[in-house]
Amino acid sequence: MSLNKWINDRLPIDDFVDQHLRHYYAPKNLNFLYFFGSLAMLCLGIQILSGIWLLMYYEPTVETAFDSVEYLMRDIPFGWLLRYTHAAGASAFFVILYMHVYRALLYGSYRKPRELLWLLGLFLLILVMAESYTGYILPWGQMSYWAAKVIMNIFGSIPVIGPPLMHLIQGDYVISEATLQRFFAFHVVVFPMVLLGVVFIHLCALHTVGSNNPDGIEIKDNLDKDGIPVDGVPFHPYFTIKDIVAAVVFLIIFFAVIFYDPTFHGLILEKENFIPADPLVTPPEIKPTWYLAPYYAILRAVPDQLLGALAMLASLFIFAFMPWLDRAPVKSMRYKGTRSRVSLFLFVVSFLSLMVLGLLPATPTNTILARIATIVFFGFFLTLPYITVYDNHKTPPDRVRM
Amino acid sequence: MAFNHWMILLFSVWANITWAHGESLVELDHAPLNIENRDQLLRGAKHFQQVCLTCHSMHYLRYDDITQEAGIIKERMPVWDDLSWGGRPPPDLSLIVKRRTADWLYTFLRAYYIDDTRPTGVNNLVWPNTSMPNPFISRQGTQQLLISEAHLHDSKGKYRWSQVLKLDRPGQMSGEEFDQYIDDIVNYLVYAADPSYLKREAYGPWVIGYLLILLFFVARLSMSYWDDVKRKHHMK
Repeated sequence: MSLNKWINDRLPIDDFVDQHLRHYYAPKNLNFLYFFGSLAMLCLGIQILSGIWLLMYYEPTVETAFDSVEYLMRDIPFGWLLRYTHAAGASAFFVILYMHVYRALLYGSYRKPRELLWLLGLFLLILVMAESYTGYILPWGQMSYWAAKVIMNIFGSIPVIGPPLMHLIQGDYVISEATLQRFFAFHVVVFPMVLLGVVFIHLCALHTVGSNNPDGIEIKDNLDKDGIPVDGVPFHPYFTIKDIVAAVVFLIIFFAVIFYDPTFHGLILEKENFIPADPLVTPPEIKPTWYLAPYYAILRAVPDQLLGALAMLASLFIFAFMPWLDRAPVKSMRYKGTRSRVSLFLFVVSFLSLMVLGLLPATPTNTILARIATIVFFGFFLTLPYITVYDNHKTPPDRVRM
Repeated sequence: MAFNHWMILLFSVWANITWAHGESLVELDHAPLNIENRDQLLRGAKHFQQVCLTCHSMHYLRYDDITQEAGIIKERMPVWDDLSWGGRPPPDLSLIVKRRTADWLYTFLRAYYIDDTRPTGVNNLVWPNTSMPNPFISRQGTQQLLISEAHLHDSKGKYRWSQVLKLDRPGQMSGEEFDQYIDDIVNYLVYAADPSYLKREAYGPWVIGYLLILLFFVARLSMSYWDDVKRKHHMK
């Protein structure tokens, strides 16, 4: 008791817990789509823990990288579990993040006052992509090597600064051991460190503005006499227990994949990457991982390499403009009109189509389809200011529905 | 308009999945897998040691008891120079099932036929013009192709290997014995590609069972908390 007081006089742990858990009010009508934020944190934790153990056995040299991974998989007790967890964890992370972003698009969580929260989230998404890309290179299989080459060539295609920038990142004129060790440093130190910092800031921003909800109305507009939102419930215990249920459901699916189909038909670990990297043999087709496939499809859909790279970059950064492109008087899709709904539906279909097309060979038909999907993808953002204004929106209720 | 495009998209996805068999000229047989059967794995490992180990290594399975018991030890594994065999030395087979599939190997190893135009004297329906000679000729016997090569290429994937190959000189084994022999090897190779399989299958039910029980309790706890919130909400 006195120790507790001694600590709290010097470090306000109790105040912090009160402020951010016991007296942090979240809307009581949050549905299952709101689980994906805490699940993303769970995934980050899983990746960091399993990653630390992989780090103990992995050797980042061209000679030993592939062998050290196979050694871990076979001769280290539970090494297979760590490696499959880390590999499946990356895919699970992206399923969760894409659902998290979809939730934001659906309920207008990017709208005022949550613009900065949204921008920080976009930065996090791009960081996780960089993290997964550098991690993908480390086993030094065929696809690792050739994926590194493809992305480095994109950097190299930038006019003027491209080639020196490419050499700076690669640490060499070709993809080599220097590249492997740089990517190792990025994957293990640089990106995770920045990621943790930005996650903290993302949460700070969230706790400042509060969660949005499926009705898209501000619970802070309806306070009781004590200044507590009438439609809010304390985060702890109500959402801690709900998030634990979600975490257990997630872990059941996650471990079912790890124990029964850890490569997930080549989507989590593709078969080409079970061949050690060979700079002399180009694989018949170079495929990205599924979660980066949409952007790769956009890159390939544009006939010019530099313009393709710009389109790919734009497909990520265009999300940053969402808070200002959406001019609807309501936030949530529940009260938005038919045009907004069709528009979001087409966007989701185009994104999923690009994902499938990015994994398929670039046949003439597939290229045409990828171009159509790319136009639909960008069309969603470009038409948003008009569609959201000229639409038959409904009036949201004053209080949340449950 | 848009609908048609999505139908084309769906069709192209389906077409790419169904036609993505790779280079095989025949439909692949389904390999009967029975990784839990240690006797069969050991049999396969012993066949591997007698035949495959002449040219192929099993580099990543160094400390495995089945492998050791079959006599597949590091000292006996062949080491090839990168430039030997015309630049394509026999690959290590530890991960061959990940690169190909069990079905592919099970069909490939039985689909050799006599072809005098090839340096090895044999050709293969699953991997046309392979540089790998048929190591099982004395066991399987020799097979002749019943239809012309041109017809075979036109009808890609329509036949099974047994429909277009005829045994013209029987080997030491009967057809069933040879199928079992190859299946033993394929089972061992499947095991070799991912020895964690047996452990995963053993741990899986316990981990998932534990989580299901945990789910029951945390879901009940969550519902008891949220019942209050819902009741209050609907009282207003």
